[in-house]
Amino acid sequence: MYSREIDGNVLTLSASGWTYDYTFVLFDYETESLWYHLSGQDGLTCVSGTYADRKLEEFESTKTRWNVWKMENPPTKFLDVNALSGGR
Amino acid sequence: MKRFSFLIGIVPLGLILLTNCSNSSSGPDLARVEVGKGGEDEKIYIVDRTGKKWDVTHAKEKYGMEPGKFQFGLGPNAIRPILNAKMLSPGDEGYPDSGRQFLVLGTTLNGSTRAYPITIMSSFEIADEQFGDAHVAVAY
Repeated sequence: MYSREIDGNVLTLSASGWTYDYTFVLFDYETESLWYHLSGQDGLTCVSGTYADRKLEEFESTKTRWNVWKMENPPTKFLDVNALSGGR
Repeated sequence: MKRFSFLIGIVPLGLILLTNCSNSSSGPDLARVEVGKGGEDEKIYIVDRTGKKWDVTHAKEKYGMEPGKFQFGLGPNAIRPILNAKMLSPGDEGYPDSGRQFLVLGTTLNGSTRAYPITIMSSFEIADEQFGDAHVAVAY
């Protein structure tokens, strides 16, 4: 999970449709800058565009089983999958 | 530190796409690399299947990212993010039973704990969210 705040602006991040080294390349709707998680570095780095060389902070997230996550985090909220549109 | 995962679902598609061709000998629906003709326009572009050009000159010069290694080029609208997601609280209709064992991406920030099913995230890849005052992108 990454911050999408920079210089007081909020970015809308999305998949660009490209991958590089089997990893997604993201872009932001506002400037169409390309963002990539460079190997060995934390966070997303802007590799091209308005925010070139700037970084977006990374936050911890965990891939696990729902029953495990729920047991450790009883009040957790859950994505309402019936209220979604888009994707692919 | 970990990088979000590969788009497994489009691997089969990638096998039939030619993504690393140079210049424009490919058909218009195939991703390719274009290099400027010189002079002031010596930029390097990757061109996706929709024809959109992405300038990767800086990515190559600063980070050593080879244009030919950008793959798929499905276009910026091929995989749309989750925006303004609705979250369910315990007790809400549709909230999953605690004993179910499907995979989720869980996270806590600013006192808010949330879980996103992997099956959904593998389709959307990104959920642009707000945890309190923090705007974040949940990425898979």
